[in-house]
This record gives sequence, structure tokens and C-alpha cells, in this order.
Amino acid sequence: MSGDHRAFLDATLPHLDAVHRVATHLTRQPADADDLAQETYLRAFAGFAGHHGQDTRAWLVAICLNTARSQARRVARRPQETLCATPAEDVPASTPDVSDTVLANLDREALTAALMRLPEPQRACVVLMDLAGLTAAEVATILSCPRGTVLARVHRGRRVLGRLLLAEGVRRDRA
Amino acid sequence: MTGHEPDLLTFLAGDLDPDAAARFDEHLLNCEACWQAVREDRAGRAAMERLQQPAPGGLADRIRFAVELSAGPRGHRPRRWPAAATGLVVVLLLTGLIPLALSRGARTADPRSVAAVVALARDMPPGVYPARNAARTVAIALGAPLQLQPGGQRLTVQYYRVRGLEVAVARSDTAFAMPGGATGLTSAGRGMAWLAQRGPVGLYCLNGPHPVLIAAVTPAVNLTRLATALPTS
Repeated sequence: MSGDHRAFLDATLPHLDAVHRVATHLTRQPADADDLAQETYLRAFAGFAGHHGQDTRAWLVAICLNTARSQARRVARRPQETLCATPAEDVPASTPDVSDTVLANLDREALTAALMRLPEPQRACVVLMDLAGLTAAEVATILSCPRGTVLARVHRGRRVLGRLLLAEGVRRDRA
Repeated sequence: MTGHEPDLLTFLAGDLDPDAAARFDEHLLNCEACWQAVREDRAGRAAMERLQQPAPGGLADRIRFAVELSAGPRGHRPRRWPAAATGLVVVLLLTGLIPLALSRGARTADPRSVAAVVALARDMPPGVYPARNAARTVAIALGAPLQLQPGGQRLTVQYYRVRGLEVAVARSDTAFAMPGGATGLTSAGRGMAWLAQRGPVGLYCLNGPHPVLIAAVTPAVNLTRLATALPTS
């Protein structure tokens, strides 16, 4: 094992929240997310000596994704996800602004479910940018696609989630 | 989607220069489709903020523990003559001297707390629990913890299932004495970590701030890796 573990922990533990958010949306089970986060850190520690210059958060997230892929190859693959009907097809053309009340009361489970229904490429980009806090350029590097593609996927994913939020606002206003 | 999506994406990414951004702002006043797209994008970003939760309490400690475990013994080993040391271990393994040394240690009187943990690990009924999730890297606690005080050392023993194996984890406020025949993993005198084998039961001890003795029916060397999956408290 290479690298000083104290230096490693000092450098990486501040990013645990981001890693865990990514792990949560890769595994969908809290216990599995904890496992994945731990395995990510152990793998990262093993490769810490070779970590130079790259943003530490992006580096950890990339390891988390690779670890999840490795684990997925070892277990049965989940059924391929398909995009269900967008959750806000009946949103009126003119919708009210999103209020803090709607934000505060929005069902987290509904949001998570909507996120999970996004097509995988969109979901990956949304999770990495909006949950893990990576830049579009970092996400592009991790996913090996152009930055413009990342921006388009994030935008489309956010719009689906945004429609859910806006629809929720309409529903609450009508209630 | 409008035909303005490329400009819209650039605008949302903040990539437009000030003049171009001002022009797009004006465009938004007159283009309902783009304005709707901006609003939905911002609402979606706000929605994601609702999902930004911190990692569970204790996970950082668990990871710290796992990393320290994977680093500790190696970190404290003398770095001189690594190849010679490795060769010596291989020779000892091949000639059976290490198992012999460990088995000889088993015949010496172990500290009572160590002997108690060995007995608990040996007496664990194998195969009682379903073997599913054998690859799980997180430990599942089995039953309630046991409290005992062999030789005056207060122990709390909890059984776990991890990686398809039942493991007894004994925690104590005081360090576990290194028994005869054990292999120290840290520099002499510190007594921080040691491995021992008692028949089929492997032992792995970490005498850190919170001494832990891990025991399972497996070669002791397997426990160093297994221990990374165990909770810290």
C-alpha cells in the first residue's frame, strides 16, 4: 500500500458527502451505498500515490463509478431502465413560479423516483453535476463524452425534474 | 425543444460573454419556449438541491477505520529489507514453521479474555444463517451483544456475518494481551496489532484507542481484510 493514510484521509474525507450521494444513486440502497463509498475509499487509498493534480472530488467520483461498474459485473444486472411518461405531461403552459413552500414540502421520495426514471445518460450527468458538484468538464472527462453533450443531458434531465416540481406547485396551489 | 437549444445550453452554462448573455436575456423576453426551458432547468436544479444530503453519521469513522486498517500494519513495518522479509515469510510458510509456531502457541496458556473469544468463535454454529449475500462488504450484526468479564477484562462480544462468514468481534476498554505464538504486526513494544491462530480459529487484534479482537473460523491472515468491513463501534 502506498501513500500516507493520514494525508489521504485529510484530502479525501471532505468529499465524502459527494461520494456518498453518487453511491446512493448508483446503488439505491443505503447499506449498499455505504459499502460502495467504503470500497471507493479503499481503492482510492490504494492508488493515492498516483493521484496528482486532478481534482480530488472528481477523482473519487470516477473511482466510485468504476467500482460500481466492477461490482455490477459481479452481480446480476438490474433490468434496463426505460423512461416512463414524463411526470408532468399535464403541466399547463403557464405555471406559477416555484415557491419556497413547494420546495420545502416536495416529497423527496417522488423526486428520487423521478430521478431514477431518467434515462441513464441523463441521470448520470445530473447526479454528477448537481449532486456531486462536479463541473461539466469534469463530468465529460469521467464519462468520456464531449462537454456539450454533458450540458445537454443535464439540461434535459433537469427539465424533467423541473416539470415535476412545477407540477407539484400547481397541484398544491389548486388544493 | 426549440431550435435555440445550443444558445440556451451555452447561456445556462454561463459560457456566453456579457454582450451575448444580454442579447439572450432579451430573447428570453420574447420566446416563451426558451423561457419555459430556463424555468424548468432552474426548477430541476432546485429539486436536486433537495436531494443533497450529508453522508450518514459514522460512515466517515468507518472509512477512516478501514483505511487505517489497510495502512496500519504496513505503515509500521520497518521498510528495510522488504524483499528479504517477504522471502523469509514464504520460506516459513512453505516449511510449515509458521503454522507450527502458531499451533505451539495454542498449547501455551492464553490470556483468559483471548481464550474466551476463541471459545466463542469456535462455538458459533456454522451455517445457521443463510449464506446469501456472501459478497457483501458490510457486516450484519447477528443477535444481541454478549457481556462477559473473563480474567477481569470486560468484553462486549457481537457476532457479525460478513462475506459469508460469521465473525465474533470483542471490544474492550483495555488492550488485549498478545498471547504466545502470536505474530506482531506493528513495531516492537507498541503491541498495537497482532495475529494468532488457535486451531481453526483465526485471531486479529487491534489495540488502538478502542481495542478490538476479531475471531472467526478462518486463517488469521484473512481477518485483516475482513476487518475493514466491520463497524467501528
